[in-house]
Amino acid sequence: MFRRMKGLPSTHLLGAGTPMCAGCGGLEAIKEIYDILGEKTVFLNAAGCMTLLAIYPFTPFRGSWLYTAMASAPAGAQGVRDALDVLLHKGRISPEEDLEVVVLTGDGAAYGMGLSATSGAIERGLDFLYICYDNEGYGNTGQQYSAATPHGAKTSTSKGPRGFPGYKKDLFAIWSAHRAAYVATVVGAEPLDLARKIEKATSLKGPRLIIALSPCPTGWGYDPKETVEIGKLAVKTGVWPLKESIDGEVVHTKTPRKRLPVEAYLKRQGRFAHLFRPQRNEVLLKEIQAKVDAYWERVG
Amino acid sequence: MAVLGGTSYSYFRYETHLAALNAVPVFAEIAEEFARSFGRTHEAVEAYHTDDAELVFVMMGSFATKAKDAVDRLREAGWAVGLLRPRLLRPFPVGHIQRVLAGKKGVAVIDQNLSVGMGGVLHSELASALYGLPHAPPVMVSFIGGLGGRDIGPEEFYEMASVTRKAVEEGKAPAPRLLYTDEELREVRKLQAIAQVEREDLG
Repeated sequence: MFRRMKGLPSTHLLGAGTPMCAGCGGLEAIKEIYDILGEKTVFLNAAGCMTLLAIYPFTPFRGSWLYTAMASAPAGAQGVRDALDVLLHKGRISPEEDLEVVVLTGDGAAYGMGLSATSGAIERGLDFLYICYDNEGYGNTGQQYSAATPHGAKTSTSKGPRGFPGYKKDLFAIWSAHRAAYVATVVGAEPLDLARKIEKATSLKGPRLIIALSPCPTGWGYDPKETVEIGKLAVKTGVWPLKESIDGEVVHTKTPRKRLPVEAYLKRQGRFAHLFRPQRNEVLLKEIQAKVDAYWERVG
Repeated sequence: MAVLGGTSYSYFRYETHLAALNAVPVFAEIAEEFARSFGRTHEAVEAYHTDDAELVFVMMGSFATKAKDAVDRLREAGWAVGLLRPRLLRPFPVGHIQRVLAGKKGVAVIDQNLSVGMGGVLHSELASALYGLPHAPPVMVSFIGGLGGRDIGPEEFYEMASVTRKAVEEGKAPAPRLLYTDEELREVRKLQAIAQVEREDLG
């Protein structure tokens, strides 16, 4: 159990020099997660930003990495898990050589296109860890809105004065409703909370999900150096609740004592600039604040 | 409509096939109408300088315009070459292709694809269309190029023409060839070496 920041790994497993954007909040989270997961992992990566991590002949990973179509990573994970089980059963690999099967996708696949395959995998009780780097849009193709885009955010497909008209889908609740073994939210800016959750996830068997909020300078419109700050603000304003669910029971792992107004988070990002300029959109700002307040009142 | 069961399915599948075959003459009709309206002709099979050609390039897609340019250059240098460019793959205009290629000495098929475990797709299609034909070209050489957006240079067309002419003289087609330069191989080897060093640095 990690108790202090000092106890976290000081050297990193993930290689440097990847083609991710500077300040990528997704890469920040993956880097921290990989350190805890360790080398005995095999990644199933659905189409998305992280596809670009491993481009022949380069890879920052220590082990295997497979690329699947956008909707198929959990199905790929089933195949890999089955193959490993067959090898174990035949004695071709020892239990020490077994690998953790890790699905790595963005929110486009996790919240939308791949949800059907995900539901099937959970239903079958597949032993796998699903990591979703959630940058709240199809970032790799120009930040079109996804099922994870928050209400009011401007994306390349929601350019109107009110931004995205829909509401962020509650993937955490969807997984919990499936009675998945473990579901947790993390953000790279809170590495201790993240490390504890990955540690817990790896100690369990069955379908497990980690949703990592991934501040995205390119898609969200802010300076890359502010990624950590924006991640922290997401937690401090209560916009991104850090929580976990084991067998359907939800626990909040880091409750902001005094929540900052959501404005503190929104005004730092270009995708919400239309809420402040040319004039403040009080109605929308109040609506967003009210949603966050209502959430915390409900779970309070 | 769902077509269920082997008996119904076989019937519908065969009807679909016959309908597709009928599309070849329809294509010619529509192409004519298109030419009248827009002044541009797109035949199911474009034949460029094939009448008096001894060697014929066969190529599909926009890269075929490069082959056209190569034909012009080679003709200036005194080579009897032409280009056959099918615009239809299904239905495959077998009749057109047979007519154009009958009696030619050699054919160089340039595929911009590599069907793994077999080879170039157009090459296979062409072999199947020409098999058993009394005047089928005796030599057909397969080239794979332009994969992943890689260019095919004029000097490569010259090389392919030479290889095909030599094959005609010897009466024997060489093994399929991938268009790939020494420089490209050096470049990939260099990247592999860098990746290897990075790997070792990671420890």
